[in-house]
Amino acid sequence: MTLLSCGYMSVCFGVASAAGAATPETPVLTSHLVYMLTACLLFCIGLFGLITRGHLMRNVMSLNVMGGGVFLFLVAVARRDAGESGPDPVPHAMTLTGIVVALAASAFALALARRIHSITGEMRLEPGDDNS
Amino acid sequence: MIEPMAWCILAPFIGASLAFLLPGRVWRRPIAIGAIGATLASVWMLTSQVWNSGAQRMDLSGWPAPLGIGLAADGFSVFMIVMTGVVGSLIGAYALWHYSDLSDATEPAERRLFWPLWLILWGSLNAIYLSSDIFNIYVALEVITLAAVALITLSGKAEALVAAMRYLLAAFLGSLSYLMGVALLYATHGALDLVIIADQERAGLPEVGAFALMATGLALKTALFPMHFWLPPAHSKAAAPVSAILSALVVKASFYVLLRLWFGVFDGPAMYAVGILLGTLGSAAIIWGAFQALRQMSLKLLIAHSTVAQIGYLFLIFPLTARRPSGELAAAGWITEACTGVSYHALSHALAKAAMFLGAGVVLHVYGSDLLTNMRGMSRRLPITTFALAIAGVSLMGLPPSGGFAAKWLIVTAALGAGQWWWVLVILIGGLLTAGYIFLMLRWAFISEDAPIQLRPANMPIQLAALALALLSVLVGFRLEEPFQLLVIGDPFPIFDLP
Amino acid sequence: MTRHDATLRRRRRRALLRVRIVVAGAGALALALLLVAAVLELPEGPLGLAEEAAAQLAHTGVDHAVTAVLLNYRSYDTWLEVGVLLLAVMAIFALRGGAHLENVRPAPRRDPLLTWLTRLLIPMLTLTAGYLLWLGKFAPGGAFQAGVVLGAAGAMLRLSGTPSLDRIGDVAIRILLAVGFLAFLVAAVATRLAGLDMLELPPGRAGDIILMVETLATISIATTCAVLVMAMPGAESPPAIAAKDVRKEART
Repeated sequence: MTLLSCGYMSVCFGVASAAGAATPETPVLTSHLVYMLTACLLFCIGLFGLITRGHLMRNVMSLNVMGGGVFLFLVAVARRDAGESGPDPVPHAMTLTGIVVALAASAFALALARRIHSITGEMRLEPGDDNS
Repeated sequence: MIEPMAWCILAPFIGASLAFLLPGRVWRRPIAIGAIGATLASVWMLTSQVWNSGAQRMDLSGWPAPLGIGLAADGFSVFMIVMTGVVGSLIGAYALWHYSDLSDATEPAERRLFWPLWLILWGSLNAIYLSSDIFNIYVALEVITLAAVALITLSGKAEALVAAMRYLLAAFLGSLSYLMGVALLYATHGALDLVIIADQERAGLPEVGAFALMATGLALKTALFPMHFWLPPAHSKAAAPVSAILSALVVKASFYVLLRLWFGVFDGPAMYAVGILLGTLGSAAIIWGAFQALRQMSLKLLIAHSTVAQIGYLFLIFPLTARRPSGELAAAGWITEACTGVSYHALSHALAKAAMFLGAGVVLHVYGSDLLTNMRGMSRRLPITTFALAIAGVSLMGLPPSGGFAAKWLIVTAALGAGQWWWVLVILIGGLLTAGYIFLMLRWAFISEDAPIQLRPANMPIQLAALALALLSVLVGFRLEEPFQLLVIGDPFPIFDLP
Repeated sequence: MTRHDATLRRRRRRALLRVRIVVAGAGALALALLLVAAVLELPEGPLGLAEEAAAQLAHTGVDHAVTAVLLNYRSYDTWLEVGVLLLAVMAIFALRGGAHLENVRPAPRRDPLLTWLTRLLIPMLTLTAGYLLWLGKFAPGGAFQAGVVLGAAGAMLRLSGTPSLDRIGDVAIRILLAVGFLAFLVAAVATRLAGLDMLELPPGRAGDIILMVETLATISIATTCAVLVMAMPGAESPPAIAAKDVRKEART
């Protein structure tokens, strides 16, 4: 939950900072830039969650938050590079491929976590780690 | 029409598909042998093609880069592919026995799944060495990760599963970090092809950020100190052939990608500092890994910690090929030695480490445990395996004449030429510590047993696989001309050109 | 004395955790600053391959640029991606100690409402999957979207206790799982044998070939998703539960 709310707050923060800065004098902060910055924040939040949490389920979730950041970044790049015929399709295709790869890796990680749980009764790698 | 580059990837993939579809006992051996043979034939054809007519490049799907994906083979790619081919097929020979009815170490399910997993892994290792596209490399890295982790879990033991989970999380993190770097590079250059990106003007901060992310991710996958925490359990808890594959081959793939980025993409005032940092971490790995290996009481853990140390030597290439902020090269005139030395170290380590893990597999099979204290009397019971472990150790220590010696000699020459004498000191201390843990390991083999114990008989072919790898790791030290010539084909380390 | 030790240990662990949080926080913050600085320095664009991709679209056999990238310009990536899915299934088979789905967890009891809903939804899901597959030619859609929807239908059959993939046998499952990977493999070998670049699609027939490959990939992706749900190792095996109980007792 903490992670999710952090992710949400970062989105709000990104949008708010954009609204504050997108005045006519500073046209630098365009919409794709807001998405890119949000994506970077998501990536870092996921990283923080991955390092500080010990529960395997949370680890997999943190990795997916990081992945979400990367994919958001790619989609923002596609939007920045939009030509007359629409957004750049290459980052879109990379995102799709990345999502499927992340799905496969997450499915395997969850299966492995459940298998470990069924053998050791622990949902974490270091037994006795109180930190969830 | 025959295109060796494509077949180096296609042959293992066809083998993997067949092995997955026909898991029966009857088919296993013909499919495995056929896939190994076809892959080796493709590797041989690719080698002679590149040797005779220079570097190759082909466009996949008929679309030249930037729209399509390019495959490219230069001397360095071929060097790595040959290494994978030789080591991989000898490990395969051992695995043919290990995953058959002759071995009581494995369950039927493991035997069914080993070959598809290993052949897909082999194909994607070749795919990495041939790929010229940074996003394609990401996908291939993920294939390697999943296949490697699945191979660790094959044995189904709880400690192997926990080690596999830790490895999977670390490697997943590494992949995402690399992918974020790919996204940043695409946002900077609008292309994914390594050659196109290398030809464009250097772009400052976005590129530095991309390199930082990609280098961290790849170093995590290569288990560079202090990001090596996942390696010793993952490599030591797997079955012997899997340990050999992971330690000898898999960690080299991510290092290869890092090297490609270092030479192709990254340049600028920060280069020297980054190079020194990577070299320092490598040195720390050499000392720390060897020190930890000295303290291990089980053979496979000792060998796995030794891998952490040996990976450190690979990272000495970065300070030796970096450019000072003033623009001149740190080791101008010695770059060839540095690059050849490190490539050679990758090769001799792959051979020696595969030999040691296969030897450890024999010990585990015969003694039922790999505790060093249990290995008493091994020199008399398993002379071939003891000999294999000993000469693989010679190569790891870097005693002449061996592949390890040639590699370390070249690195030392380059370091002295560059005036960076401190790396020489690290290599010397590392060599002494390596000698320490090798002797510690072999000491038990030469102590005669207290009381005769009942042991399982050892099987000759598997001992010979370990011996062949160990002998090769020494023999490669005798011929340096061909690798020297191979490694400059197609100019894989483009810094060579610069003044 | 033992209690004292336990308190000490807990305190030490807490301190370590605090260190970890501080280090991770500092690291993540530093990375965030680096990334933000890098993003602010990015060129203005447009930079990417939008124009190139659009210019060649007429020769790709499809009208939607993303599908063209996935199945023509960069079909090799998509092939490896299908390989990753196949690997995930193999990995889960490895965790189960075998490929058979026969001994998957017994399906829950049939529920009349669920059965009714399943009867209603399965045809709709199948139809949607077919539509998405066909849509990929000129709009967002294609093999992955279709495969996931069809896979959801498989998972639904499983949840409602209706026999499905678990009844069709080991060999058939393997074929269904591998057929997408094989389609790309056959395309790669066939194009080489025909003297084209690997995976090069002749513009006249590209549309048909892509539809064929996508159909086969859809089958594999759907089977993969369904099998991932069915074969997910559970905590139901009796010895494991016993071990857990023992451990819990030991802790209290």
